[in-house]
Amino acid sequence: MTEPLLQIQQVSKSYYHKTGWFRGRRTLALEPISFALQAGETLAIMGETGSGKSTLAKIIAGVEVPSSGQVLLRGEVLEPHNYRQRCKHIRMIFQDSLRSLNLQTSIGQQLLEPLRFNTALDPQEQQQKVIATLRQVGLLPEHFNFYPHMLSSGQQQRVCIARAIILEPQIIVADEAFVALDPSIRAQIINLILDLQEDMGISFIFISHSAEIVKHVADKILIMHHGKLVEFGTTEALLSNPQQQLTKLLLGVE
Amino acid sequence: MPNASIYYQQREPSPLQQIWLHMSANPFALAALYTLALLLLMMVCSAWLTPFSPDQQFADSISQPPSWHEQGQIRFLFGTDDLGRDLLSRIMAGSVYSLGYPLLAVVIAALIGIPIGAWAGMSRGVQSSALNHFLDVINSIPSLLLALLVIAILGPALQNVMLAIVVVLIPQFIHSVHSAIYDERYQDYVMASRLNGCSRWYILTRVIFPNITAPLVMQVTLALSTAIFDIAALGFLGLGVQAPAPEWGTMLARSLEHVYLSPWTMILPGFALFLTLLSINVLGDSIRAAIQERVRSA
Repeated sequence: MTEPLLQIQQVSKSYYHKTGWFRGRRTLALEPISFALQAGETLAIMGETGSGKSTLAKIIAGVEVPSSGQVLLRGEVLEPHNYRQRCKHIRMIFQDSLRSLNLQTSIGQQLLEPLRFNTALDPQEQQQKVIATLRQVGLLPEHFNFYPHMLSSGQQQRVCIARAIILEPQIIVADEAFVALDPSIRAQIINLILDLQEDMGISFIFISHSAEIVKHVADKILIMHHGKLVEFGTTEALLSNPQQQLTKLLLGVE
Repeated sequence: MPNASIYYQQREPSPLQQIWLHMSANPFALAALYTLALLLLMMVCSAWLTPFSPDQQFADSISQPPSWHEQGQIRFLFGTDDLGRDLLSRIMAGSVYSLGYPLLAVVIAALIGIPIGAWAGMSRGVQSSALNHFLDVINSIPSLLLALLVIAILGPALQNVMLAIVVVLIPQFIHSVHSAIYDERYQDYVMASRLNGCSRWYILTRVIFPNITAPLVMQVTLALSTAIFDIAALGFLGLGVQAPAPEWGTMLARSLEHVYLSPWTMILPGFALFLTLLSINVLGDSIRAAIQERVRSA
């Protein structure tokens, strides 16, 4: 068996709430968790609110720093604050697309940002790359000069996807990125992501509440409850033979 | 003529053009803008525009009423004061003290305060909170009182007043920039830029700064009106600009003695002060509203 693309080793996260001058309370959002993901696979993380699934996604994407443990990409440790190392391989799509876009900067400028800091392309090539990526996600080159508030929510989500794929990463993490969209646009965006995954061979980690989307898209499912990994396996295995009651409930299996 | 190009053909106006479009839709904002522009022009050109020297005394026409009064002369458009000095020339020349020096003070305070505020906003932990609480203490003292304190130590003179006002304004700039940046830096779009691998400098100047222009404009407006008011107040109390200089506050203080005999010596400088402060506040508020409006309207 080949080396897995992504390895999560004993990653945990605890938050420190200050209750007094010196005293504080430590809450464990994520208990030590380990799993591995192969290249090109799609992983769905499911769980109730507050089960730590969002924290896990944020740690993988580099938004949050794990309290312990490490994230390995092809055997290489990803350092928590080294965003340049991470962003070439792992990109994130945020839950709220409008809030994750800078309202005062044009779409084109925001898509140029990752290229400017992570590639050796000259300005002309950067421009072409941005336009090519805009076309890839179904937008027009004219959108280069648009500002985020001029776009519809589906188009904003496409811009976020463009930002995620522009550096040609190996993994994309999406934190409930489809919740705010209406069903038809959601279907469009999911199909877009599936097409991109096929074209570019990207592994996709996503959080979702919707059993239908998970069954349709995911290769593997990870079920979480109160910061603990409850069940992890392929979609077929979990659908045909769920071990836990929670898995049955979340996936809607009889 | 009907526009044949329907879709995506028109050029999108730049952010500055959009702000101008929003602002020019507001007649009060435009009135304030033109008033302030005229005042600034008057200030810059006051050395060439004044009909007489502001200190020149006309012994034959002491306490001459303004020209629209039946005893007025057209030679002295706004009349003369009790020493026979032309009031129009004094008000025009006074704008250098009452508008020019506050502007200078605000520019200096902004140049010092904004970088420190940005540094404080980007830092975290003890460093940030220590600076913040120290500034809270300074901010809790009224600006005029703090300026009086500086004057009390250094003595009344124009350069001391400037120093006092700059010292008073710097903490306000630091505080507003610090809290504006602090509000923005944990937003998703800043995190997204951080995940893009952008440098800290790029995030501060290109990502966060365009988003804090509204509070910044408000702070500049507030600082400018505070500075104008403080210089006039200190002049009025005799602690700022000294007597023969045609500063508006000093002129007001002098006119107190004969306000019943020649009320115009009080009303006209007071009106100039009022007009300046009003136009600055209205303009600042409209610019801030226009900046916010630009993002809100799709």
